[in-house]
Amino acid sequence: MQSSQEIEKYVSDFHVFENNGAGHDPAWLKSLRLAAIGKFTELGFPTIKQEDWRFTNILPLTKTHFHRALKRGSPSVHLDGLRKYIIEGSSKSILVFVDGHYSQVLSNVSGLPKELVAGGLADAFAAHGDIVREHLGKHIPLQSHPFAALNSAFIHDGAFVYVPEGTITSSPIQMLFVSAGESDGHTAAYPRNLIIVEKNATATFIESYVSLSEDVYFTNTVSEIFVGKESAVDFVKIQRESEQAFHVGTMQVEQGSRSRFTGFSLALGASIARNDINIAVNGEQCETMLDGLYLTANEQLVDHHTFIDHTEPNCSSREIFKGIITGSARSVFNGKIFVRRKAQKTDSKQTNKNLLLSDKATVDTKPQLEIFADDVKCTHGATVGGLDAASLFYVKSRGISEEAGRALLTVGFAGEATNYINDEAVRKHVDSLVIERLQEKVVKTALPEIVHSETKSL
Amino acid sequence: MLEIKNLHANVAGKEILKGINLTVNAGEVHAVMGPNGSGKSTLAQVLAGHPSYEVTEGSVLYHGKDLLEMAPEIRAQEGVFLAFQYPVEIPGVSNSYFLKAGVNEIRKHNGLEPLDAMQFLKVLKEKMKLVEMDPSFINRPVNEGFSGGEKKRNEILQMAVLEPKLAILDETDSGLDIDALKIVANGVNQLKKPDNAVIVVTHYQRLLNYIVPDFVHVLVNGRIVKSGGKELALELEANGYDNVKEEAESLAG
Repeated sequence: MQSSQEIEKYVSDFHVFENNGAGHDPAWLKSLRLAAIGKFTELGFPTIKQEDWRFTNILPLTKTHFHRALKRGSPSVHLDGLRKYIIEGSSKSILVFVDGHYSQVLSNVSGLPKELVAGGLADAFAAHGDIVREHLGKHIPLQSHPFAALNSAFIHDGAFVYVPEGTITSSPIQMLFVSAGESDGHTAAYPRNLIIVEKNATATFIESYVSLSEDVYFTNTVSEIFVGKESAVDFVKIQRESEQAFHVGTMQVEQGSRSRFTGFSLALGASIARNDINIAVNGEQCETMLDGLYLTANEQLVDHHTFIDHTEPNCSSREIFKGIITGSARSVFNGKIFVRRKAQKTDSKQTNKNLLLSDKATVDTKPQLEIFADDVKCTHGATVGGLDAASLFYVKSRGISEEAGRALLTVGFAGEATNYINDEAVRKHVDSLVIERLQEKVVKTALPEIVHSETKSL
Repeated sequence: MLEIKNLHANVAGKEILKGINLTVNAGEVHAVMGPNGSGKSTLAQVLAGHPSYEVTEGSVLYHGKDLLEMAPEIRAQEGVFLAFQYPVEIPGVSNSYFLKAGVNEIRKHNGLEPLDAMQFLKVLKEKMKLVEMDPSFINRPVNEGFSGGEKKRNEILQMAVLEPKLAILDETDSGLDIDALKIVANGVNQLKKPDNAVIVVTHYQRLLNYIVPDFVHVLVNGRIVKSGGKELALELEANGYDNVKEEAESLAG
């Protein structure tokens, strides 16, 4: 099953990378990479025999070799071509990456507070070496994440954002990862993002993955997010890769006491996409919100594996993931909530709702609760089904046709998820992507703009 | 306008309507009253075309056409409107978009040009005044987060905008306080015209103080057991449904 030949190709890629591009990096970084490639060699690519990959066969990904994308000499991407991907309000707080490499020319951080650091990770090794070293790779369990190990072996560039204590940012900070298309065969980008929000600070981040081509490529990304004590961080990931591409992302969040983290994952693209989102709630009285929406069509496969780890008492978490699956597409949701012995008074809710719009579409959903404390309030549940018949009757009873009625209810289903995005500009951007996608893949009739109520219910 | 003959209907294999006969003419207000479980709401749902109910016998003619043959949306386009007992929430879709979609489908069916956004907004605002709804409801998702009373008022707003020929109000009074009840009734009364008709389905008489019926029908166990004028509702209020039930049973026996 496991092809050692495939692994070898990545290992030899690693040696080329280590000898050429990354030779003058600090020693600690080199040894981190070396340990990571060792771990990856040991683990290999996951297979469906492993519980965490039971429903996601990545053979189409592993049978092709993707070599590391090099930084392009001449600018192949122009700002005009990127405008539609940039969120309103982020035009002066945007970091752009082409094939995983930071582009200073395309980026603009002039709207951010002076004390805030935002740029490429490659530049931060020299300029902010101590902070980077203190945080990079500190919490990712590589043992259970072979793709994160592979990413770690190729750590070179990505987003680096440092929000100092007490900083309040008003504009959302967008990190835009652009795949420019094939220049020299199948390439892999390994963005490595490090986001550190110190005590009592507030910030909203958007991590978007877009493609300027319909090529076959591989994005293997890792984002590490440190949410300091009493901080509030909103983090929205938008994945709209080429439908031929592969996307594997690991998001590792660590929360300090009395902090709030609001995460949202929108998954629209890629042939096979896998998101691992791990949140370590390592302080008391934290709030954790993790929501998402996946919309899969044709032959797409989108997999979310989430893990919220409650280690301290008096925390609450809410997780709502919704999915719309059509064509012969597949979706996987595996949400684990772990409540450790010490984490008394944990209040946790988790829901996964799936809307199947075709006979060939499939969903594998597995909400899981593991509780070791005795005084907690935890609920979880999952649904898989078609549109609600009572709702459809109501809509039709107002003169609206079956087809238009189905479209409206599908929009409503999606809107219930995006309602959890706090920032209005970001929510609008996400809503318009959802409508565009539904229009393209699911419904033929005109669709309304999504509207939101003030109340956010479970 | 509406001619119901010997209507029988099942839900999940159980017969609920056991031979309803009812004729409604333009300009009339009919009240259908009855105890819980008598089949009042089933009658309302069957007329609107709810897919869970199966008509096993009988006929319903609406303006001379076979109503039972029509899909729910066609019934609406032909002018039938049901104000739901439990209005459905549609998150993500604004009240105004929803109603505009309905209005324009109905207009299209009747050979009229669609209303543009400005024209529609004008109509909507005017009708909102009628049911004393705050304009902020225009851009709120349909019924989401509305109180019980707001939902019922929204039903009457929809009725006002869609201008049906036959309006069926299913327990519109349930869950309303007296002020909301008056607003809803006032809305219905202002919409009454010589060429349309209203069927008010209710358990209690109190709504009929404000929407005065021309005819009152008592439904017991799937059949209309008694019909009369508005005074019949008062009689039921005073004596309860037990007397008519007994009468019905002795007749059946």
